[in-house]
Amino acid sequence: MRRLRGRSLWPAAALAAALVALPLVGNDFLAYQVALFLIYGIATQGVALCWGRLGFLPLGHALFFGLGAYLAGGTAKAGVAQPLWWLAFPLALLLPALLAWVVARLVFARRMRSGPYFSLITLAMTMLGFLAAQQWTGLTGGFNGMGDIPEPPGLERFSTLYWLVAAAAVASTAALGVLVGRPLGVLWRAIAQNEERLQLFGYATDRIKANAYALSALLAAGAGALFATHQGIVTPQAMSFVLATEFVIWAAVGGKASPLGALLGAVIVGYASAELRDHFATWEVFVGLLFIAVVRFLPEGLSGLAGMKVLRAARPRLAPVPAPPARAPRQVPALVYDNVRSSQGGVRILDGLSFRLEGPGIRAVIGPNGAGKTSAFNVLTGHLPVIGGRILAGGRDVTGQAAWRVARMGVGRKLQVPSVFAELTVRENLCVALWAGRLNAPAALRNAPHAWHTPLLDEMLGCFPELAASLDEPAGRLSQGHRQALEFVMTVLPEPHLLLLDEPCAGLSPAETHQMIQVIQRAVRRLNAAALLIEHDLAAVAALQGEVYVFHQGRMLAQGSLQAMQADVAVRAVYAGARK
Amino acid sequence: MSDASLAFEDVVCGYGDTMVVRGVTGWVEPGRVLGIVGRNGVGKSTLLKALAGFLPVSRGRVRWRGEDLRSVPAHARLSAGLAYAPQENVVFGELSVAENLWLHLPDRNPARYAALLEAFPRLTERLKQRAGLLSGGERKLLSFTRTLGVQATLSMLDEPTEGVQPENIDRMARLVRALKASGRSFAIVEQNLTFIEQVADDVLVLDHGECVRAGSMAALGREALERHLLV
Repeated sequence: MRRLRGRSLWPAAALAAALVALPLVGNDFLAYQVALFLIYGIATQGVALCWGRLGFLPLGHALFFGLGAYLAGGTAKAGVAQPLWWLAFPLALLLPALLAWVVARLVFARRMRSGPYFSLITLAMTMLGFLAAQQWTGLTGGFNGMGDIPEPPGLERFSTLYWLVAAAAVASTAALGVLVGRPLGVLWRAIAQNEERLQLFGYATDRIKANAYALSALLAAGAGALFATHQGIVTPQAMSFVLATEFVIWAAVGGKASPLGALLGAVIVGYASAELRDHFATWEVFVGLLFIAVVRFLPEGLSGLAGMKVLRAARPRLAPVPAPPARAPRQVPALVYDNVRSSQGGVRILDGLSFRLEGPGIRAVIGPNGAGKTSAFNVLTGHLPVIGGRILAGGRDVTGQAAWRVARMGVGRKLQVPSVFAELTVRENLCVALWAGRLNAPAALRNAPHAWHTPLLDEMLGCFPELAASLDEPAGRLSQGHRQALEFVMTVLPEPHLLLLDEPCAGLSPAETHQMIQVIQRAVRRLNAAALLIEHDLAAVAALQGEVYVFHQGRMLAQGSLQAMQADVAVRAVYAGARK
Repeated sequence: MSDASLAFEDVVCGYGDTMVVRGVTGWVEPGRVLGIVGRNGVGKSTLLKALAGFLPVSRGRVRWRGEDLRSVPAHARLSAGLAYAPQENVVFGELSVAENLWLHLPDRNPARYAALLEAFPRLTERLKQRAGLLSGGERKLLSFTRTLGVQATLSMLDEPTEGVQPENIDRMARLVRALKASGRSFAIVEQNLTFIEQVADDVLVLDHGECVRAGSMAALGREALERHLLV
């Protein structure tokens, strides 16, 4: 544990050493100048957190920076006359974070691909904030700004304030460095890569994103508060989209995946700009070209070049500890499809699908291409709109529910094209699945969940030695067949009691198909679960020995034993069946 | 081997510093079908990607009618007579089925797809729909149809039957055999041995990135292949 924490803290420690040395090597004025860019750097870390970790780009972080600055400045001024005002100071940081959280909840709710809209909305909000700051003269001082902001008690603006700023920069670098290695940080990266998969495990990704955005706004507001005391004046420029864009450029140049990189991006580019702008008329062009070059050639920024990636493969092994029990319901949720209809783009996809599934065991779903097999799964996990009929799971109407809510009722789904987190290691992929329904908020911030094990996980790794052998490989490197195995194991780890398995044997040889079927049977028996399994290979269907559902044209054509289905005239008219 | 239309010699390729294919040699002769089989993760798709020009060949040679293919970029290989249908991401989801079939063709000669669309009436019914609305198996059918419609001298198909219902697999086999009879050749990566039995003249069995068996399908037989594919 101690070694692990030390590893994630070294960038912050190196930063601390450099910042202590700075005023000794240079002078107080240099430190004062650099402090401004450290302040910007903290806000840039917020941008980098959202962009580099979670994969959505906030274009308007100056709004929270400016709000923090105005609120902190106003509170400090009021505190001169009435010291009780200092009690309200935390609100200068919390209110912008709350605003960010509310906006993110509204934008991210129910829509997974809202990234570009989100960026534009944040940009528009900053422009609105800028106008408000300019026009609302009574409160903000308008164009001339809010001046005469006092120094914080006990600190001198041109000397000791530097240490407060330096401490804040080190603290935020350290906190982010630790967080990204914790389970929460792994989930952040998982969101950037495959939000849909995460929802199918029952993670409310819109909430995780909103919380992360609020955290990044908190950093920006904190930086804004420091800015107010550092400058003694806050003008609308502190809330302008120009500053917001600079945050983005600094994050990109420094390295959006690295907290220290983002901070240094702001310090180096920002400080160089301030110094060189007056000497070179074309300086802004140079910064623009630098930005283009970095985006084109260095997607991880200068920190990627320097290899400053925090904690990757070298995570030390923790001794395995038993995971807490899964929160999924312990029995098979009875599944009822009642005349379900669905269509998209004018195409009828499901046309009155009805069936009832109760009790454990595997049911095979067969049928011609385009019969609605995958779509039957899609309507249950919120991927396809239901225009008629209803779906009940465990006696509750789940028609049109979000994927994560259905997953939390104990429904696990494996997708047709195996879907994993390509840039996470196999081990991290397994962790994300294992944590589903087990990880509470405090645990998400601790290291221990990385070492969680369950008997089922150990058993599954025993069944798939090729996965056990590539735990530290990125999952994207696995062949499609091994990704099938990984996604299957991930699907069962949260211990759901209803499994939707969409062609789990695609891409497997006949012998591997046979083995996969055996593992599926083993897992289903161990969980005492029910499973719906889509398969074309009748040798595999026969091996399952369960009931067979035949779908055709969006409806249930027939159900019964495989022998009965193969003898059924209506079935034989649409589906012959064969082995691989 | 010199008159082979496609010949690859001692090919080594992979991703980053991980070499997945480690020295595989083979060839496809005109009018013949090469089946590439093996358990999953042994490098079949990787080999096909390298032959199609989507992965650099780290070592070895790939020649097409005697000419070195290494300097020919992926997009230029179609006009050289090489078509490729990948395993995943096979259609343009935002385009209609018809647009998917015609976007790369200067002509609109319906004869090109007549036999194919007759075999898969489902596609004809859905010509005007967005391809993204097709089911997984239908997308593979669309990709297969589009690739065979090119009538390339050599077509490389990566698991064309994945997710496809048995009747359609039989039709695919018939269509491949018909083109083969007209002198076209194929390199097909497959897990479905029934399909391989129906179409392949030669087979290449890969294991751990190396060729462990090669020869004519008739001489090897299904049982020999199954033995190699045992886990």
